[in-house]
Amino acid sequence: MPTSTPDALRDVSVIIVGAGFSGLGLGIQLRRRGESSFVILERADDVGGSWRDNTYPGVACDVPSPLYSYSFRTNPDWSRMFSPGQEIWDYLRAAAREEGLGPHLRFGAEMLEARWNENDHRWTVRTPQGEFYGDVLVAATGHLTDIKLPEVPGLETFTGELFHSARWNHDFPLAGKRIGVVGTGASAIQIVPQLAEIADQLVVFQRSAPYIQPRRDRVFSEAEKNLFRRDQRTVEEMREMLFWYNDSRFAARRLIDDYLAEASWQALSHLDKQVSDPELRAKLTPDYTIGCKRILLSDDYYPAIQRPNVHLEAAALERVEGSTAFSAAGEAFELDVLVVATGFETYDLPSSYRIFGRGGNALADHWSNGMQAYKSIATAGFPNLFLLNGPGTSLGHNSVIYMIEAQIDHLLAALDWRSAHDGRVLEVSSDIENAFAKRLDEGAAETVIIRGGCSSWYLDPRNGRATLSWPDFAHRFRDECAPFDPAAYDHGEQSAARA
Amino acid sequence: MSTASTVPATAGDVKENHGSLHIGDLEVNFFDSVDEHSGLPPIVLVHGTGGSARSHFGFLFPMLAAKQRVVAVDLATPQGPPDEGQIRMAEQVQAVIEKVLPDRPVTLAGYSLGAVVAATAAGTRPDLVGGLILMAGWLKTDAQQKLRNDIWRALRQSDVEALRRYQAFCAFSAPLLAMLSDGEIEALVSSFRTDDLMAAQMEINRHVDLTDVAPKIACPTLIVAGTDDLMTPFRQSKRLFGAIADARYTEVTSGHAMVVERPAELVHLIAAFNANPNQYPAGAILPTRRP
Ligand SMILES: Cc1cc2nc3c(=O)[nH]c(=O)nc-3n(C[C@H](O)[C@H](O)[C@H](O)COP(=O)(O)OP(=O)(O)OC[C@H]3O[C@@H](n4cnc5c(N)ncnc54)[C@H](O)[C@@H]3O)c2cc1C
Repeated sequence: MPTSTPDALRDVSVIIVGAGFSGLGLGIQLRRRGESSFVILERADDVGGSWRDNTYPGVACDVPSPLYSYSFRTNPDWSRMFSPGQEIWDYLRAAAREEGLGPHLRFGAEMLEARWNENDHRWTVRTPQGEFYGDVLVAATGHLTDIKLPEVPGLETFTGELFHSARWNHDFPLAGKRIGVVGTGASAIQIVPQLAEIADQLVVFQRSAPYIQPRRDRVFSEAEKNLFRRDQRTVEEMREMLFWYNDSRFAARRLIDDYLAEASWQALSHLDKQVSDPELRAKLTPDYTIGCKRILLSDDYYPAIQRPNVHLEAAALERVEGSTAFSAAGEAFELDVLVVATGFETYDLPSSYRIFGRGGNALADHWSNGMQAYKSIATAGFPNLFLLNGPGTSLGHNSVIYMIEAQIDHLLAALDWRSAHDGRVLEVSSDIENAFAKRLDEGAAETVIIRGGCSSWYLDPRNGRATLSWPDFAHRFRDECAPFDPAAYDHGEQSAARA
Repeated sequence: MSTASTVPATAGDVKENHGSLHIGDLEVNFFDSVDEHSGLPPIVLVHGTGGSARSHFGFLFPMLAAKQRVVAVDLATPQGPPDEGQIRMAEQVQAVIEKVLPDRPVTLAGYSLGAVVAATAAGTRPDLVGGLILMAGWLKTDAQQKLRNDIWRALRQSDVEALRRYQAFCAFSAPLLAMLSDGEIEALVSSFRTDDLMAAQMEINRHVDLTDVAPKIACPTLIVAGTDDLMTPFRQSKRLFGAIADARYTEVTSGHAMVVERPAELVHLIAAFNANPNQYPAGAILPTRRP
């Protein structure tokens, strides 16, 4: 056992792992309810999760800011409809500070291993800062947090500068360089227009063309922001309008003809308007049904691609030799820099190899056929473990924060129930978990995620299941998953009293 | 009252059967999603003035049909005296229910004039209806509504293009119209009907009166009003809330065209009510939704 320095929160009621939107959101709600027995373990040196790690040029949310924020902390100060990443990070830092989370946060506290103790029915979490003990463990570890590099032979031999979009090297001067960007997903299309301005040459390796719709971004004027400050209801009204509008876009994901056609038209007419060269247009035209992968929003990506110093290589990066990058189409490019914007480990989460439930079973083993959880929050064999923003929570059409908040409500009700029932342990049965997962699989089978003819990060390639995706309206998630029903849980054991 | 059909509807991927029946010389069409999916009661949708199952329920029909059976009625416009319109139309709905969904409780959901028709159907045949949803309905046509009806009539005589613009102006909320581009406004405007059938329905609207039938509605009822509705102002929905014994009330931030402005929120309200009509007790105003 590592030596532990004294820490008043070493032994608590709730251990939260991760200080992104999920972990902080739960922490804020606990504080507001006057709870003090909780600790938030974060491996990095600050809060913010995705918004701490993604500092690439052009980083911004793609769900409008008034909606992409906590409902219980609306923000009148967003500079624009799609605020830059720095502002979102600042928003989260201010939230953590002003809501009094400081004393609860432990940085450099990576969860190396979490174990359910069968004797006292509690969790032990091992970190570089010693062990923490808790009745309840909350994995708020995200699923767009552990970077994924492409499996490209020779990548490690690249003689130039190479980094992932979520680990941007701001010390390396990019101006005047020959830069390759690998990938054309949500990050890449924000990065490319920025790099196009400064690069000598920019090559974009595109495995599959994305659908891009107009962004309709705009700044909020001082008068608007002032109104938001003076009358909070006006922020809420905008948020509600954005929420219900976005939720209606699920009809296209559910492949309802007219809505699907409308979504395609919005993207393809944007392409037509911005790109006149038929050959380039063909390269930029996706070969799957819209919504199968995340629909991207950009007004400056297509113009950037058409700059004389930018080349769209409509083929994947295939191998690297020294300073030469070869595409799958056989083209060779001499490069000084490779920016890898290939996303994250999504379906086989590193954190799941570190959580051990009953019988020392790893969550990753429990999930060997794909991750799943009852109401996206609880798994069989892992008592008193709750997942935030885990399986079955991703949306292509609405804000993830809404989903996280619904889960927080479930969790708070579960904690209340435990308090009222002598701290009894909450655990779902495999049957209940499987029945829920089966319904999600059936739902997903009706959506574009499964039927759209693409492979996306919402899918688990080991089994073809859409394990990350919530295959319904966002509002339906709240309707179904926010309510806590004690009858769904077994609750025999009792956590031992805290030391 | 009339609503735009900016959403030309199809049932998309959802299976549906089309059927029809005759009442006297009127042919009544309906669409049935057939698949039950669950033990939930089927939902019967009734459209509003100037609309059809497709134009008003292009979103609601397929999205609700993903979870429960849905039948949507295309009302035929009766030619008789306008004050008998609501009962003649209610008979059509009752006939469709008896033919397609006999001997089982259904949830009847009407929008605009369809709400009036649904309320009439539920009040005159309580045995057919297990739950009732009245979206943008009204109890009895009042002077404000008659005034609008007068303008409608006058413009139809004098300036049909102005009439279309007036309809768009009345149907949608100010905040929604304010957001649209010129092209989008023109697309809305051109979607409005001004034909004889529409005019006949406007006459029926003029004569709506549910004061006698409302107290006879016995089933759990959900009343949905649009905060910015100029055609059936939310106070009319509140009058229904007062008149129907087992009613609960909620508002969506929308003009009259709530099926276009807030379709996902309506799916939420209808699906939640259908799954558990008594989630909120009679007399309740639903808690404000703050997504
Ligand atoms: C560039 C980018 C843009 C995005 N834009 C949008 C958008 O517009 N709309 C939208 O809805 N979503 C967007 N997302 C998704 C975004 O990830 C979520 O919206 C949200 O930020 C997730 O919050 P989270 O707290 O669940 O996870 P994260 O933000 O990933 O936070 C997880 C935290 O857990 C920590 N952690 C992980 N493992 C451990 C461990 N073993 N021990 C200790 N700590 C650990 C991580 O360091 C991290 O701080 C975007 C994501 C990215 C990357």
